[in-house]
Amino acid sequence: MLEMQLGYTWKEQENIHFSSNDYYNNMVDENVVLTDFGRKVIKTIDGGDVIDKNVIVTKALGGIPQEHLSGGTKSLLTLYSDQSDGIKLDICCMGDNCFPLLAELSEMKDIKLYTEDWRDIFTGTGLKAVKITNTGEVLTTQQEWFDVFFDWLVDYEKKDE
Amino acid sequence: MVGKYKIVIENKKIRYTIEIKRKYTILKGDSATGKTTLCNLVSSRFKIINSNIEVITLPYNLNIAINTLQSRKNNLILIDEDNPLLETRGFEKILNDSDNYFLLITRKSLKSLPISVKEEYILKERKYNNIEKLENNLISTVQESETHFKDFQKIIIEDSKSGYQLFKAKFGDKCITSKGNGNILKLVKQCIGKYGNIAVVVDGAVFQPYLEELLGYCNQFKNLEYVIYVPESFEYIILKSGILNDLIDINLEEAYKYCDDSVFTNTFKPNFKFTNENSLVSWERFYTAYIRFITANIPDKRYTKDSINTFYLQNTDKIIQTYS
Repeated sequence: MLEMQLGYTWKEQENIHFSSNDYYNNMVDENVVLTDFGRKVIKTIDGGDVIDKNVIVTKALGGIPQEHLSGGTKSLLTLYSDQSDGIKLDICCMGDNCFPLLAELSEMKDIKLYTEDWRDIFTGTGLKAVKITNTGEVLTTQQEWFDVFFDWLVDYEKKDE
Repeated sequence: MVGKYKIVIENKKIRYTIEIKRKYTILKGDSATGKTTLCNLVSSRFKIINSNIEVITLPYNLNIAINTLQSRKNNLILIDEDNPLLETRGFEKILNDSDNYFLLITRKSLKSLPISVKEEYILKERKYNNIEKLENNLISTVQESETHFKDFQKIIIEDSKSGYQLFKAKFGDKCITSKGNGNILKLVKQCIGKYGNIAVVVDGAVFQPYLEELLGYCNQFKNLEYVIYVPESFEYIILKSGILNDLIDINLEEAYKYCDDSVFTNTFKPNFKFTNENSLVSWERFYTAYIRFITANIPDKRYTKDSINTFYLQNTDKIIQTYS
């Protein structure tokens, strides 16, 4: 299931990242691109075919190493990989076009993201549920997500701790 | 730093064209549209840049990044979404104090920065040109339409001082002030179900970080008729309204020529000094400084933010018509 924490403190932000790029390049097992999910993400988001773990061919950039994959792809593969406990990610690390694959991933394993900004994670994505970790509520529709998010947002004030 | 710059960055495979004219420009959008590729291209040693200013990508090491921001002047500095500076508390002061333009590549709403709704771009239309090179132009996300300012059931004004006073004089209790951008959504939320049509009036020169969530909220309500007015600022509207035409000697759309403390001071020689509170980090502040400057020696037209002069109240209709 997808778990979402709404907001975070300045103290928490020290360990929450807006991008997975550096983490992916240095910490995630490079064989992740050879998995079925890895190949699907790279095909869908980057339009790339995985030749081997060192070469991915995309129409836009030609042959590239996996370090040159998009930030959204790296975020999905980081969450998919077994090392995902090592980094906390804000949902701004991926574009809206990653959400259908995020929904798919959330049915394969439990994943947690953080957000301070409105993102429509339900419409057209196939997401079945999101658990709000602040309250424990499980939301299953876009309307529920919308109501809970904006009720929270209007009173959100970032605190020190 | 002042000026408007067209910048073309390319290599054998891809070409980016960017026009920059304010301190902050935001580049966001879907994954794999070429945002990080742009940063990597700028960082590489071998590329072609056609520009009147130096273009760099901010280094990722935080200490080196801060030194770069303090030592460089009149550059366009790209900051990619994985640069730790954007995650650092207080980063907005470091950027505001730096005498450079910035292209910020992030989907995060940077609510502490004065970013214009007109300076949000996406990389969307990837087309191959006739030499098989990928053309990647930055496309503005703002779609403007002409809407007359009518008698809305509720009017939410971001401004709590002169702008609010003027609207209040015209529309009475239909007007409420949010006292800042941070409370607008809360007031809009309170209006849902009570009013069939509402207007929101904000300073577009600094509202980009709040616009997406406000649109996301309002668009959910199919029966709500709403208009969000995003002119540069209230002072820009006054200047555009024509009531001060005899005093204005610049093209108001060319604020990029003067939006810098020292350039403004040297050009206009105002009788006030810039401080942290009114430093020209946005066009909103420029228009406020300019209207203060041109009316400073005319008591019946003198503009102050705290309390609006009778002259402006007498011209309320002209000023409000300018929003349309």
